[in-house]
Amino acid sequence: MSHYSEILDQLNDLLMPYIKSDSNITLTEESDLMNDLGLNSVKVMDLLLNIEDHFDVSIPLSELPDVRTVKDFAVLLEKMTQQNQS
Amino acid sequence: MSLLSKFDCIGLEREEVSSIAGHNPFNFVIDEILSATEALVNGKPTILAGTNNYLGLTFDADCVQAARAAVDNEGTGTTGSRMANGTYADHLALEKEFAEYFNCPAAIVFSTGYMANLSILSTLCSKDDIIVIDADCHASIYDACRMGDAEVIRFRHNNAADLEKRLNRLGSRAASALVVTEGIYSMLGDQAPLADIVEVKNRHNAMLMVDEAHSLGVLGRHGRGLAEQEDVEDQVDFVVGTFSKSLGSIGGFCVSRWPEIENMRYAMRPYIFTASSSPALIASTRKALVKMRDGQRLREQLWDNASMLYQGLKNLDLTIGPATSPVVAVILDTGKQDALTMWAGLLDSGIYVNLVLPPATPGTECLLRCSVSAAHTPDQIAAIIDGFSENVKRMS
Repeated sequence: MSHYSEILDQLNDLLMPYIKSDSNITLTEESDLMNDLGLNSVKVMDLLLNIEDHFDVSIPLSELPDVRTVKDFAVLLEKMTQQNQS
Repeated sequence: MSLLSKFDCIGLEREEVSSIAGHNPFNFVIDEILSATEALVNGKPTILAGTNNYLGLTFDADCVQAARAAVDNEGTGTTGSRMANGTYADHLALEKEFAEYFNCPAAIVFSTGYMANLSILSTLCSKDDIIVIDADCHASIYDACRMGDAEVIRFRHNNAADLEKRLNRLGSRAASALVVTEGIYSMLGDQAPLADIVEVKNRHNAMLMVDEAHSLGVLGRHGRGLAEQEDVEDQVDFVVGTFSKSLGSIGGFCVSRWPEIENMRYAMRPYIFTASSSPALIASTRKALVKMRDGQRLREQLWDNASMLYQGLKNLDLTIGPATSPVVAVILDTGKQDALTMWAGLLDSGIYVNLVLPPATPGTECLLRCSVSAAHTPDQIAAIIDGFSENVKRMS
């Protein structure tokens, strides 16, 4: 399994609690965090802190405007975790 | 799609809010201001419990007289920035008085508190530096971070252990970090664990800025804020604050134990390209600074009033902020409609409080935010509690 795939799986697990259980949303790489998953800005910021803890990274706020989809998030986390390892 | 169409949703939101509340809470109009704590709203006497007028100095006779004299002697405005148009002697005098008050070598006065944050944060930290902010910091701090080039990361609200974790992640880069926290947080009235934060930043050789906007005049024996109360002033690198709360006027300041901020003055674009405060504002602030410094009795009155309101609302079984504070927030988790109805009901009962809706709130709940003044009478505080009681009963 690639590093990206591992991150994507872990990210999906972290996103699940933020999706309403009674909704019929299917999480995909192309899911838009705000429009498809219905996360408001407050929830995104809360989610961000949890994700930072899980991956042991601190994501600069300037990176966030480019993160719209689950894939964008996974790519960013892949880059940041690789930076930490190097 | 026109440039303006993206604001259509705000128009719809305004209509919805106004139709529920019967008033627009975000365009609240005061017909006539009667005192530091009372106004006429829709022709009705209304207790003001959402003005941040903590020491009630807006109608202090000496401050008003000083402002009046400054208008007579120096005119209505400075008509430009200090760099371009020159500095009035009173602006310099106020900076000297702030420096003396805080026992610091340097102070800079700004036209607003927002400008103070914008100027300091966007200028102090550059491309290779890091700003580490409490997640619940004020919008002016977020905006200031966006304006600058530094890397910005957040730590969990009031959590020194989380700050430590993030500084650990930075490794040696932590020595180029500026940690930013507030004294009293504006929404819930909670205080930062400043002594713990100071310990953490010291371990990592980071610098610390404290925004004392809501704690200036409120905390500390001389009113210098949370850093004075916690006895860590000598370990705080920058203190910023505003004149628009305890000092009863408009403006902002930064004091520092580092005299080098005097050089920063010439690099701060928001400072350089903004008109300086009017002579009247500076004059009333100078008087208010003395009153605040010597205002132990005012602080006692403020905290007596805060305790009375906090306990009174707690006794109604309302969910309120975590600790007694001049900012008392009633937290409503039943949605926007209930919050609007309660806000409008309070206004009909002659009580004005702040309505705060997400995302301006720390969580997903709505807030009815009260701010207490030393100028409130016990009868006014009792009336605020009664107003909440009546409206809670009406809605249950």
